[in-house]
Amino acid sequence: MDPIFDSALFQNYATRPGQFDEVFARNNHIKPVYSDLIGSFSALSPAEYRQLNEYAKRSFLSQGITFATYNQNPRGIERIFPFDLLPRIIHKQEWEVIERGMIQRAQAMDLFLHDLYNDKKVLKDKIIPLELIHSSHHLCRFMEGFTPPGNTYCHISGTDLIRHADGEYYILEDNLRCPSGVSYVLANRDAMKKTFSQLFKQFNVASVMDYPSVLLEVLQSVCPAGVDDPVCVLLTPGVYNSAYYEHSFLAQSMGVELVEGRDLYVDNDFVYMNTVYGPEKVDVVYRRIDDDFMDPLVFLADSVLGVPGIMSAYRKGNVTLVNAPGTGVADDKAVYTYIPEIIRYYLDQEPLLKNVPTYRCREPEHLQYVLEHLSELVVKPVDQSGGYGIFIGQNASREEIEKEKERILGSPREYIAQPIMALSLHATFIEQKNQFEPRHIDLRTFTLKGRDVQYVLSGGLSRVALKEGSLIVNSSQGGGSKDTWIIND
Amino acid sequence: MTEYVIDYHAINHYEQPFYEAFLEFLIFPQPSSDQQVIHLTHESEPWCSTYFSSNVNGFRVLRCRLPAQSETFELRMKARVAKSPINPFEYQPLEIAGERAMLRSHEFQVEHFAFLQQTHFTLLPEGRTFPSWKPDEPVFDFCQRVNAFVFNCLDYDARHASVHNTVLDVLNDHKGVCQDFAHLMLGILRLNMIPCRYVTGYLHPGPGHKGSAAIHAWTEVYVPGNGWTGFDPTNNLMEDVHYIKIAHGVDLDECQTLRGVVRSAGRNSTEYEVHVRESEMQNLPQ
Amino acid sequence: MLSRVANHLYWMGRYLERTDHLARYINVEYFSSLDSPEPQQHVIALKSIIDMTGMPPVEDQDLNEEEILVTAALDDKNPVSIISSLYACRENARSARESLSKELWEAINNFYIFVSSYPVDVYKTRGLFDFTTHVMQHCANVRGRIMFTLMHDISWQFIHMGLLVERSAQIVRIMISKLNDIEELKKLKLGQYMEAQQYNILLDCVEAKDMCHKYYSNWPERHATVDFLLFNPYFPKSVIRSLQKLKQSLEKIQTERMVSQKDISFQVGKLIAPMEYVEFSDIEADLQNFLEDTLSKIYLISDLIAKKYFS
Repeated sequence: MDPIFDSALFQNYATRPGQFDEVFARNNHIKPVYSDLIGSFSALSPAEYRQLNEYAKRSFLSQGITFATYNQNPRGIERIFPFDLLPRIIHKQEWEVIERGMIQRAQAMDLFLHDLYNDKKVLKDKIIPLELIHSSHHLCRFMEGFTPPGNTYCHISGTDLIRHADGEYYILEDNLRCPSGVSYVLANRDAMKKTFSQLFKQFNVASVMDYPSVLLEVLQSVCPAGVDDPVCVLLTPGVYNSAYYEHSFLAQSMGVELVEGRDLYVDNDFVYMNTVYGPEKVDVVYRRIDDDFMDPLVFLADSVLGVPGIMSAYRKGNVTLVNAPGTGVADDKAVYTYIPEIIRYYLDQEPLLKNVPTYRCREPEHLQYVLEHLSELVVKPVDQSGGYGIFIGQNASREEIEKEKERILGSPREYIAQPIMALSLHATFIEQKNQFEPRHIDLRTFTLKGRDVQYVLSGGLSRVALKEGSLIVNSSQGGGSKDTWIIND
Repeated sequence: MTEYVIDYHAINHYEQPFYEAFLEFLIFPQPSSDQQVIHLTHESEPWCSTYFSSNVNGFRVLRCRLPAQSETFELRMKARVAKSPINPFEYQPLEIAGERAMLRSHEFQVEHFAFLQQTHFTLLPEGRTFPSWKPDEPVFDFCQRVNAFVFNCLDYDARHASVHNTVLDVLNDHKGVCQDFAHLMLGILRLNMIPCRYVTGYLHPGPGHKGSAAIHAWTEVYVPGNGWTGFDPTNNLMEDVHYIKIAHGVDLDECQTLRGVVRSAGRNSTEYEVHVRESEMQNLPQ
Repeated sequence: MLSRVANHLYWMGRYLERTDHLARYINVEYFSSLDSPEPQQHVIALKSIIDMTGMPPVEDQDLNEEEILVTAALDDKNPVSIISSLYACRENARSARESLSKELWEAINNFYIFVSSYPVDVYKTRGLFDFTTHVMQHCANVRGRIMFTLMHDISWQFIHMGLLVERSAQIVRIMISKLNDIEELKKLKLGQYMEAQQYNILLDCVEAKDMCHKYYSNWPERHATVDFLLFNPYFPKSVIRSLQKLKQSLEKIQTERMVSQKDISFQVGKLIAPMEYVEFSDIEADLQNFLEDTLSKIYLISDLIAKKYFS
């Protein structure tokens, strides 16, 4: 046993048998990549650590990095996204595989979407069942026969990865509509640098601060043909959206206007924003509102968030929307299961990253298996994000299992099931106990793609399920986050 | 050649002043090989900023941004259209097995899936029987059979007009207007995996035509060998020179003649008036 | 710059300035009335706070000191309280967040956190001075960040105009309210000294006492006080100075465009020009009317700005 366990912060730390701990090996030895870092942390007394922790929390609060609970009341409680000071480390060699895997995936996704909305070869060749695609709620008829600038659909994608008990990374899901969370990565790094400035001198940590400038490069690279100096804007639903901090942070770091739907209007199939000096033409819209709210003339007529007429302007090629509408059809959890086939089909390559084995309830043999093994499986609705509607078989009572069976049988196409993946554990400071304990984590990566631009943010957002034993890391369900260090020795 | 003059007049009333109103009119006759648009004008009262654009299926729409504070808004459209005669029976049908093979081929279904899939408007109730396509029946004959079935299934009743009515709604009391006839026909054909689409347009009223007072709705069915072929289940007729097409789509939702975004506390309402008359034949530029 | 953002910046400035004046008025009025030999003066002070903040009027016998002071400062259901005003300031700042510097935003946000977490019990018993003083300091801090951490470009001009419009309006309102109080007190016949004391309070409410004494080398009285607050060309808070600066801001925004005769700075100039050629003796007889008229002109200017730039 390492002398580390003399430290009050770690003395009660216990690895869990049969689960993968990122920091400690089974015999409670620190893994080499973490040894220096844990050495520095264990030198702190709980009181000293608490002080640093408080300082970091205050810094988030005063920057206004808060979320979700905004309402129109001066005393509305604002919560910060809980942040754990002990960073998660990934070695550069390991990271490079993930990075290549992400680029591969992003390329395949764009080819897939273009094919789906144009030649439909993937359907004609029966790689993916026709009904599966056409019954997706996210298929966008407006995209038929259209090629967006730079042939790019998913300019920004967020992919969630987990590390299973076998020590391997698996892809859990893709987010190809409006993935959020990147501002936390930058804010976490900022807080870490302020709190542990000396640590950064010791480690060669890959920077994340280039994200906004690459994002701007991506936006500019896909501007409409013939525009030399494109005007890019970020379209937000407004201050009461839970990700408003992120929208304003990104707009400010890119130096572009943060606009709301009411700031924009369409004339003659061009998009303009109302400025104090009159209308100004807009070329690229990085929109952080969902497809359904984009254009009330086309989708939901009562949406006040969007811009009437913008879809026609887009089809005419006078404005670029980022991400393209209709990408949701590819991050549907039922389509997710076909991504390895999609990669092979378009790129003629083996997927570099694994999918979690998935049972498609729409297929009778799979359905049969799922119904018989519910207690070993996690069941997810195919088109929900944010951790909603998830059924976890492990702890379910017999009644709950019966109820779940009915739910699945009601509309099998709506569900997929996966074996319970043991998310890896990571030492995490638990405030109530004043010490580090193992908690489950995942990793959201951020990939950017434009005309001749490909980029994966070094590290991404490590999300922690703060509740003991919990596997749900979403911020809306009590998750926290960690800084993620890609280290090269 | 038959030439028609179409007058379209819409009046919108706003109970309270709005701070933003943006309207889209899908009312222009579609230029095509058998439908020549000779002259087209439009004007609004009060004057407003307008532009032409395209809807989801590429049909021409007029967009209007209304001046703030208006209480009413009127739009008039006048069109002269020349129709060439169509004879729906004049085509080279494929042999029956060939028709079926084509409609059942995977590639064909991928290409036409949007028009093969039920929408919430066309979805049929379960537990009822509808005409089904017999193995030895030519597609054309089947379509005529469905046309007649729908015509007999529903009673035309203008009091039952609502843009929200689905097939499930109208089959409750078997009363409906042209859009409901069209949706029911689409539902039955799609159940048989035959591609078909909703059509909106003007109808020059002949003797006994129903649904002719304003804008009419009918269907187009893909008939191998002939392509998209028009059937009007409201009148149990085939499309002919009296039908002046504006647009098609998967259902009513893609063919609404007026869409709009009005930001106002009050309600608004719209009245239409449409006249279609045959004009004297003129010398057409060739 | 977006019209909507310009609107948010302008109102951020207005609410910030309003918060400052509210806090100072409560502070000065309340503490100056504590050691008065005349109990009626305490009543007048409380009623004056009600009047200035814009809360609904209350009869003498129903005055509840604690309730009034809490409502004016920390009641988030009272739309004209310090906390509501500051909340509006912060929400406007948040909606224009990307136009502000990190330093300015954090100053506003920390100010808001201070006020929203201030314990009402402490405020009631011993915190009134501490609270209002901190609010004033925070305001000065935020104003400093506006001054020195932003480019003085067009977005800055909108914040600046918001500050100036609210400042001139608040000063005129304070004058109307205080001059009323003084008329009331005169009826009690407390003598010359008490009246001078009231002019001192008025000057204190605008942080102008020392400079006014210095300028006139005399005890303040009606003529000097009014003249100083309305027309002094060197004192930055005098109403005429604020309005002149406002006009300059409007001209700066317009520089790059053709300025037509009827443009906004012309119209604003037309409204304030007569004030530049008025002396105390011209308005002495009908001072209240002049102040009311000036206040409506200031609101008219605000409407003109909104119509031109925010719609």
